[in-house]
Amino acid sequence: MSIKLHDLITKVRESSTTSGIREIISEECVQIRNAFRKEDTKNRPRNISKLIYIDFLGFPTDFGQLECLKLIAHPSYVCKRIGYLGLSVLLTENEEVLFMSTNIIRTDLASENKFIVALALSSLGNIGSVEMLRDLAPEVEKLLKSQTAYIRKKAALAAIRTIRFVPETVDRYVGRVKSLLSDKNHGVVVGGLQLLIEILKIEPKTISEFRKLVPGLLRMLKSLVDAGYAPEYDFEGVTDPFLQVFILRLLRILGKDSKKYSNQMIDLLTQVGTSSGLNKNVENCILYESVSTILTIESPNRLRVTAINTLSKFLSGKDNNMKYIALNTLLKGVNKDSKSLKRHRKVIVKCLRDKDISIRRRALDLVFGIMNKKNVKELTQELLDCLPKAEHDFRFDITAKVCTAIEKFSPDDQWQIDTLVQVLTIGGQYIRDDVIAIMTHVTGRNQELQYYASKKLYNSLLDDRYRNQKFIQVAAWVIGEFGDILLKKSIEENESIDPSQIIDLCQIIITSSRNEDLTKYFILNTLIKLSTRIEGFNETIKEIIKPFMKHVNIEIQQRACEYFRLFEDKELLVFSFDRIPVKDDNMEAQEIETVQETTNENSTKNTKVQENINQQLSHNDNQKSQGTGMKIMGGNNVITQNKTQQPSSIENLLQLDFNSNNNNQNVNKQTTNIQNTQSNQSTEDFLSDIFGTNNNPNSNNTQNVQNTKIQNVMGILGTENGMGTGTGMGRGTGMGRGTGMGTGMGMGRGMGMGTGMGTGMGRGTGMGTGRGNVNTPKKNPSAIIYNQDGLKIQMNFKLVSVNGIPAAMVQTIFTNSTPTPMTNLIFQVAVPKHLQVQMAPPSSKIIPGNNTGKVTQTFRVIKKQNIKTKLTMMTRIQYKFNGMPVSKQQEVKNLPLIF
Amino acid sequence: MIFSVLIVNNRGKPRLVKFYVPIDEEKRLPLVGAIYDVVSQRSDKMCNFFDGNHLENEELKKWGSDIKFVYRHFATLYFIFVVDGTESELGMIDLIQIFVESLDLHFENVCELDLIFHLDKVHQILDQVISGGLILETDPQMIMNRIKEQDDFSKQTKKESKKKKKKKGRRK
Repeated sequence: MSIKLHDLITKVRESSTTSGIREIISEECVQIRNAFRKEDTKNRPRNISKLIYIDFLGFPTDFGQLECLKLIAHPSYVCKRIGYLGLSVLLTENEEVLFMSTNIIRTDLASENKFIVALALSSLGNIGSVEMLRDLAPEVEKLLKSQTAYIRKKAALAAIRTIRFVPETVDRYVGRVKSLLSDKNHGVVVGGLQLLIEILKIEPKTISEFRKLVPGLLRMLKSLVDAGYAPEYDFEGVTDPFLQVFILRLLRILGKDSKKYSNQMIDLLTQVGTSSGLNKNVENCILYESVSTILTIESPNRLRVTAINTLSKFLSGKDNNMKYIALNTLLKGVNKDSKSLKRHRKVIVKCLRDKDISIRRRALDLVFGIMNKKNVKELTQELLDCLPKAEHDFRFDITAKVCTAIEKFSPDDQWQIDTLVQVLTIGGQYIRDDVIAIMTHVTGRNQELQYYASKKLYNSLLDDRYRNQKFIQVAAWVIGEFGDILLKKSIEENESIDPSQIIDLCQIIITSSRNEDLTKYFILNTLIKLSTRIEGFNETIKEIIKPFMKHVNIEIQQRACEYFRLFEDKELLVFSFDRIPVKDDNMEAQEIETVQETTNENSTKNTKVQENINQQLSHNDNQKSQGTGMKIMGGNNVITQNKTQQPSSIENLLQLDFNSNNNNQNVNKQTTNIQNTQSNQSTEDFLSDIFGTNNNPNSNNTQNVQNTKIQNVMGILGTENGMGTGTGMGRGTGMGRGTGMGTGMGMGRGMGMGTGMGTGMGRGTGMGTGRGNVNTPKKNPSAIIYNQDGLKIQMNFKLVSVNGIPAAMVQTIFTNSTPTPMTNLIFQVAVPKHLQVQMAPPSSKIIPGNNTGKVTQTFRVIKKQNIKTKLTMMTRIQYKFNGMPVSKQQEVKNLPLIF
Repeated sequence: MIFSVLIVNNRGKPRLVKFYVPIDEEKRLPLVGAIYDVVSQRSDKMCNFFDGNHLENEELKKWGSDIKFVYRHFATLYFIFVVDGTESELGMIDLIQIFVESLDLHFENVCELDLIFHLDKVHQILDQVISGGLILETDPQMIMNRIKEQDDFSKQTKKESKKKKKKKGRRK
């Protein structure tokens, strides 16, 4: 017995509980399955209707897919109609079953009945897969010439999907599209315009050809604008607004970067921009479209100013939709029209206080867009004023923008510090983690600022020591780093500060249960630094630190133990916690440049790189003491960020050593590894292998470049521990681990340890630290195995040893230079039989566009027998680009690795 | 491009869920729920748009970085279009209007119950407005005519097949 769809829905609606509904549905599904098994053709359409409903409720309906195919193969229109509907609802383009429908659809496309053709075209346009679209492209092309306007229109949309999924078919339609644009039916023209826009996106070269259409398009638009009431195409008093919108959109693409064609458009655009009233949504829609076009094409300045004035009028108006749209549009033109935008600053700032979060977010983006050195003070103040009233999520956005503003446009140094302190005070808990890096950067320049910052932070902390955690952390760092300057200068200025007061404050904060562990950790560092900066408090500080050697947090415990022992070696203590060097902006730029150069040419020009490094080393030798101080700083930073870091990125830093687990318990194991691979070095020596890194998510790029450099050139085994305790950074300075730190340090220095520190940590470049005895640089080869369609795959090879047999560790780096992210990345590797491959999961499945990030995946190739062999492999890359699946397979030979 | 068309009632119950990009079955309803959560908290005076990139959702991120929700609230129902930056937001508002008017024409004062009991019809009407995430037809009357044509043709074929069966029966 099969019940009607209507009855099923009633039944479901009568059931009050979810479990009740589930019962009804599973019962019904059994019925439907049975009907399918018995080939019950009579009830098949009804069953598919029910399945559409069941699918909508969120229950699985896979078993109905084949039945849909049976329905569309049925000669009757009634069956076909429901079958095609089922096809588009129950199936997606990824389903393999879909491919079986290709031939049925082909037959239907050739049908004499226009309803059947329309059904087939719709389903092709909705869910057609790559293979189907490729196979049926000739049929779709033919239908563009159909007698029925309705079919032509649907064919145009199916064609759009075809060229989106199968770009090579684009040539088929380049010639066809013009006839669509001159079609009598407006709907077909809309389809044609959409097709043309898509063609231009896929094949931008054709633009010069299509620019010839501009006069015709303008004529068409003019007739629409001038037309009186045309009942056939009327929409709320406007003649075919959608057609107008699409023409304007196409003109925007055609007029961009072409003075000649832009000039042709100006008169009409002025007319459109001024003539339409501003009451109805439709009219606004066309106006907005024309304003966008004016701002995109090469229009004269006066027209741009008019356009921006129009938008600004919306901002002060009452219509919220138009406010949003206006902000959005202004944001697009922010680079070209910053001058005319300035006049509307007040209106834009006012939108920051709008009730609607959508509008506020846009306004924030725009305020940041118009920010420059001159107005940064005012605008930042506006942002800070909004902060206390904003809701939770929005506060993060604001502080992030303020921080960037502080870094990017600073009229003077003191303002930077003042604003930083201000934003910390009101929005400390909403601030991103690298705020301390900004502080280092700002205070790095001169003693005056260091004094100013430390005094300000110290005094405000003294006033109220229950400030937010981030504030305390930053203050702790600054006071620790510049404690001596603070004391010295305050005496000069006759506002002397009692050093014991500082220590007392630290003690209060570190023992207070209000403060989180990370803050205590910062205070520990402050104390140890102060012990080297202020005379006579060593014993007090030791007493404060002592209880923390038994602290429940393993981080704090470890650090306390280390620091406690450091007191035994005064010289080492002073050396380890010396002040960070003054940052030199030029040096930073230079360094990044050389680094980039070296990675580009790393495989061939190793010697040149060597020279570079040597130079750097000698240069840095002079600053070695300072450099070490910096490293400790770097350590702080690592810790700060590890809180938010994901394990994958840590692995990333690790260059993924499979043998070492990412947790603290396995430190020893890891140490063994280091010894194994670098067997030519003594036990103490490994301590001088420094690889201080900070992992700033914003600056992964440069960071990784640096990683590669060090890897390639120095052959240093960079390690960073999973807990991120800063063991990585500490290894050289002897801070990292309790054991043997004294000797390690001594050795390192004895060899003239060169510490090449990149730049202000946290700002992104991190720091690479080199070893003094650069006499055996290990060569870690790398190769670019794939570089097509914007996707670049680089492989870095490293030899490791597994149970005594050499193996290759391959780090694969994916970058994407196109603006669109690539998603669903799957990378597979196959190796010959005598080898074995072990893959780790990729750091992400999405490769962000514009080279803004990278994905790494590491795998290990192990030999089954210990015979020297060359590494060859088959690789397969699958990803989705613009929603289209891409799959590439290739053999990788001639890799620079024999093992 | 239009990624999705959703109709959700005031209490968060979906009434139409249509995606123009592949999405796993189990991820659909959570996404609809997340979108509803955002939209339902906005007062009717606020603008009809919301940026999708502030919504933490894996599926949305796959579609791109410039995702927006354009929605309208009619009595008990929210009509939500999920679109990317290439679509005009205001145009989408009009398109929602067109879709609703078409439903209105077909059901004569459409109400929530119509959508519940005639889901297939709603799908068919939507298919006349949007095809594969692109705008197909923007005239409600035209959309109605097309649906009517199809319905008439279905009836006609049904009658014919019945006649044939009768004939067959007589021959026997």
